Amino acid sequence: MIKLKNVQKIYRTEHVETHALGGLSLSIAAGEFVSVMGPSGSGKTTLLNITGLLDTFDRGSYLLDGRDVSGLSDRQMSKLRNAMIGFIFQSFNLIPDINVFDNIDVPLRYRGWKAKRRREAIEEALGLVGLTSRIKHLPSQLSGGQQQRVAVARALAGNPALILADEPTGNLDSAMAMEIMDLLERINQLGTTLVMVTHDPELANRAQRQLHLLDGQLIDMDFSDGHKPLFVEEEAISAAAE
Amino acid sequence: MELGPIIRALMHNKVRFWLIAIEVALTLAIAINAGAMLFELRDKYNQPSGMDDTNLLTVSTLPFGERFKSDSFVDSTREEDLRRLRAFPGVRDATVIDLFPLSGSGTIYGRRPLGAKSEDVTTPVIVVGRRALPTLGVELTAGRSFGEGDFVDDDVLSEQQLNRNVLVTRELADELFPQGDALGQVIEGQNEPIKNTIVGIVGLMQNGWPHSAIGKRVMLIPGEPGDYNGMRYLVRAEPGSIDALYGQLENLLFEINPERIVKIQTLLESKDRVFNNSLLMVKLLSGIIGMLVVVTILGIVGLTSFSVAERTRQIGTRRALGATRADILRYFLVESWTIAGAGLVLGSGLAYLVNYALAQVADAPRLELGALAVVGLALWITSMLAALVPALRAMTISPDLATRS
Repeated sequence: MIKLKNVQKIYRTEHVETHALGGLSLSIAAGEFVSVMGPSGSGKTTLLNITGLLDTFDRGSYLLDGRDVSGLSDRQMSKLRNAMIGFIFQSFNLIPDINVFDNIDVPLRYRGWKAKRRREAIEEALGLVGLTSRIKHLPSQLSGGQQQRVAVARALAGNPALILADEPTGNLDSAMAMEIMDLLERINQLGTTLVMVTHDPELANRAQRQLHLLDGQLIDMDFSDGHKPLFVEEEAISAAAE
Repeated sequence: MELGPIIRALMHNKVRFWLIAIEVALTLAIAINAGAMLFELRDKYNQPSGMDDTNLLTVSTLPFGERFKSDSFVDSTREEDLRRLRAFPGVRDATVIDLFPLSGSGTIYGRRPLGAKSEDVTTPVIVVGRRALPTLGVELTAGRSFGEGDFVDDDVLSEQQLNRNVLVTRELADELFPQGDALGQVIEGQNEPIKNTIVGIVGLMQNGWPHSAIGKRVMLIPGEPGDYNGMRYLVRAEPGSIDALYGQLENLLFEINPERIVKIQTLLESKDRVFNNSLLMVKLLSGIIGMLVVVTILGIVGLTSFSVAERTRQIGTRRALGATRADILRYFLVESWTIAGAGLVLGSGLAYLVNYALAQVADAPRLELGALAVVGLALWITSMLAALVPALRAMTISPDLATRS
């Protein structure tokens, strides 16, 4: 599904160059559930942006479902993103002025589906996340957990091959977080490839494979002896402090 | 097209929506009515007067010599003035007149068919001397012109004076006698001893108020107007002679009698002066329309810019969910069109209300649907152009903004 080879991403300002990803190579098979962990600034979001076609890279190659995405135009990237990828964001990113139905409808309209097909897909997705009764509600009328479930419904309504989740439980309490994780696992079990960026080792452990990023590089980690990597402990401490 | 979600989203931002919609509505209502008045004024200005107005000079004299206090001296001076004016090279004809047409002033009588119980018809009157019709250059379409017998001595109250023959314009004739049989009829004024017999009908002639609704009603009364307070002559120049005559006639009249002030104008200059206030209003209205349009444009630019700035993250999210740059551009343009469209619908109704009110107080012309459509379309396109710059800015927002915290 995802094949990155020696991908480099450098952010440049007038005086500073930041190597966000330094020659990263990675393969994720179709149907896999992969979690990505790493400290702040390690390149997790950059990796997510590049795999999600939200950003371009400076060097290397990226094959998405066998298709080389380097050199695609902005319009082609938008179309491919719309057709293949569903996004779940930490802050839900629902559009506040429109109701649940219209929010889930946003990517489907860009896909050019007819109204009837869109309605069926929206109702099916809302049924899957258990929010059919909230179809006319505005995001502000929903709890955080419900909003994220709407975001999950929006991500999967178009039946994408890949779902990218960026800290999907970051703004939720633990009970809600577990609910969302259950949902994501169910979606993955239905065959959708799932890549999830998280700080939470417990949630990351629910993935079939865990990737660890440090300074824009994937690092090998063997936790079989019960030791945890230093940055995970740091994150846990800072999270507890907050 | 995301019209449904856009409208539903706008309904959650009612203040923002109505602010601009009302602004567009007011602009349309004011612009279309002001525009209609401007066009009507222009049409009135360009209307034919029925006279040979490009060759007519108005000559006003204000005597200060004591001799002019004598009526016989006034009469003899008038006679001499007219004789010399008519004989002057480049002059085609001349007549004496009490008040100039197209001058913004005049006299109004009330007239109705003899014995009729109806209300008097507003009847603008001009007293003219001999050779009035060939001087004015108006066309007699029925009956006869004034003959020598129609001119009576104003100082002697006679039966003839009480029953004076007159010429009327076709417009006034039809107003008095809608059946079209005005010629030969007698008209009278309520509670007035004077009666008038219509002996001739003039095709078209504008009176002293060419911009008014009764601008084409004229009753010409034969007479020899003029006294110590002044005398007015209308001089018709041969084609191409008017510029030369302008200065020469002043000298001629001083030569006849220097004890007077002489003022000479072309009839068209006089007409311009009448329309001057209206033209000032035209400029004022044009300025107001221009300002309104600018304010509306600024409002739309401001609203769309604010809307883009406020929804930067939302735009990033839409891009992440698959919107192309063109989709984002279209979204903001459609949103702007929708607001402007609502404003135009509201403004159309408002325009008719304003028009009705203006018609009551200012005799405003009726709104034409075609003009409303043209102005509405122009405003709609303007609103689109106003929204274009911020919408183009929205288009450049990167999709990776969706993942930034």
